[in-house]
Amino acid sequence: MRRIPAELCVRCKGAKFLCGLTSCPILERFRAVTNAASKVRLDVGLLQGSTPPSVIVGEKGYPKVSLSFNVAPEVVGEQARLYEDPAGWWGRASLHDIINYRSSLVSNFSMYRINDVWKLYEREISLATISERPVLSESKVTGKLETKLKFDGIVMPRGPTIKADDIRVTENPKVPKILDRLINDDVKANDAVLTLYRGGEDVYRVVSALSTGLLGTLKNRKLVPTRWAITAVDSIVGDSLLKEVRDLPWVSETSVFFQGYLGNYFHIIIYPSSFFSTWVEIWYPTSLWAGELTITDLSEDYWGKYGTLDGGYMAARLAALEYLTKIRRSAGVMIIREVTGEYFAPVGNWHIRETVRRAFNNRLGSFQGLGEALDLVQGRLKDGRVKLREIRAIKRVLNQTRIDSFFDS
Amino acid sequence: MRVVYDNAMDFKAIIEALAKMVDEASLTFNSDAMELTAIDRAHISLIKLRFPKEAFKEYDITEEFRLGFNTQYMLKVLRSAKKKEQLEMESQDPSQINLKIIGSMVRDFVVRNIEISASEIPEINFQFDVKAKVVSSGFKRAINEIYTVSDSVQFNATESSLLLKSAGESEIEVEFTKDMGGLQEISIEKPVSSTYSAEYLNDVLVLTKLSGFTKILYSEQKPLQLEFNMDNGGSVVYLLAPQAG
Repeated sequence: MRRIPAELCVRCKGAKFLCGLTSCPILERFRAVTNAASKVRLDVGLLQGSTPPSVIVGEKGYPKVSLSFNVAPEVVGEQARLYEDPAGWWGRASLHDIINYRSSLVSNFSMYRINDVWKLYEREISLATISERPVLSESKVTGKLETKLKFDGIVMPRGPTIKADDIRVTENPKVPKILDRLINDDVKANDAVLTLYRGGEDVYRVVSALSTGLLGTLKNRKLVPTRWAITAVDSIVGDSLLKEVRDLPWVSETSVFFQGYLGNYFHIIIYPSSFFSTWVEIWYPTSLWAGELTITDLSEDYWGKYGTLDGGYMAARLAALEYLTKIRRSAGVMIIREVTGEYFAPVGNWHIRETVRRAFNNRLGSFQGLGEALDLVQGRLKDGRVKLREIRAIKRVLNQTRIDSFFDS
Repeated sequence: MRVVYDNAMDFKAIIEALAKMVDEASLTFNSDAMELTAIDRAHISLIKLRFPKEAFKEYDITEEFRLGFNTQYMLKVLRSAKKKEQLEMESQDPSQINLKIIGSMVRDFVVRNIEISASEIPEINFQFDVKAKVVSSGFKRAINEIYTVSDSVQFNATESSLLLKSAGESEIEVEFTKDMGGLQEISIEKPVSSTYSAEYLNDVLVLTKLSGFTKILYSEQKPLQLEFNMDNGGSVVYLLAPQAG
């Protein structure tokens, strides 16, 4: 992660923007956190407010994990939704806005063993996290409010944290019917995730349901750390879509799609081929995790075999497979992600899923072949020094000839 | 139809390679041979096999019989096959066959015959500048080792040797020469080099179990042909399209 030297901040004090950002992250965080903190009544040990809904199950200490029931203090009803609303945020909320929302959400945590799922269910805590509308709660809190924010590449940022001795859900959660049925059914988690997705539930609710142990065979339900649950849902749904897409006829032409959000820019090339996917990430020198220009790549073949599991890729892959399922075509997919200095704080991988989904509404054009499409993308890159044709995974696709092209010779 | 084959392990090896290429395939039994041709899903490689009736212990085919199957399922069925076990396939009803693996005990499976649309694959007859014959076990090791470090294998031939090289940052070279015994025969029209996917080659290395020697044929920027010719007359041919540049 790029570090802004402390001496720069000391000289700047949030006024001169010496770090190159458009607003001072330290001041913004401070404002949001103090605002949230002022609403927690530490003197009486009470935290009141609605959850958007929002929950994060940690992975540290597994099988004894922390469960953060995130609450917007003193915010009641629909207004709370804004604090966790990936699909609604997209295109509207800036990185600063998102950090603000998340800093204002108090992470109200308690420790559980992973098989304590029924305890959470009886007290409607897990149900509140999958509700269709924000749910009011009251927590008895002790200790100090820890005002640190936690950032992660997969999970959304976590706001100030406080230990909850008792969380009471004071309003009835509105659980979607299909989910309500699955909670009572003895169905494997894998099948339940697919039933929910195919029933039109959004992936974020499915992740919360899986994470809080509401899915799976009745005997085996467990809390699942959110970070694992996100990638699990992406890959369960993606694998199932891939099975369907694999047997469909190929697309007839090469197309390029584009979309950008939060300093992340995605070019997606869809070309006639059996399914084969290539994922390239270009991190520019001032971006979040990279001190220098860094390029990573991975490929997934027809059978769904890939080299390394990457949460970012799994999110983008889901969006691409959703598109292919929708147009009832199979294709080769090349996703090129550019990450610029504008992306200075990681806010989870939801934005990758959402941006790639929206890219498919923005087609730049159709092309003769993969080479021509790559030339267009090459010309549109933020830094022309990156040579797409020299990237290993791309070279591999470009250089491989087809056996049927030799049949006539 | 009824056929009995002496070594179920041969079938297992073929199905293992096939399962890496396609999800469905079709075996054709006609009066003089059992045949199969398939192109992988990405249209990069092709496999062709022919087992003449003499390769079987019993071969009773009165009219052409096509057996369409799911390769993953067939692989599961054959997974239990051990050395020196016999394979028996029999069908009274065209919708299914009875497959038996006979060893110290008999495993009996019913495999559904599925309809597979035949893909148009023309007769292939390439001319090759290099023809070599190497020891199968050595070839297997060479590809396997190159695959661990590289995406591609470069084939280089001279009049007395065949050199396989990794392409990319890490370098591995494996040389087959007549002196060392790894190379049985080589004939070249001209010294040529050509590059092929290490992953695709690695996927079919199981075929090296079929024959002591592997025939390697290729030309520059043209497909590579591997031939596994068995003592009983059966043969498996694998063709792989080159990588350009």
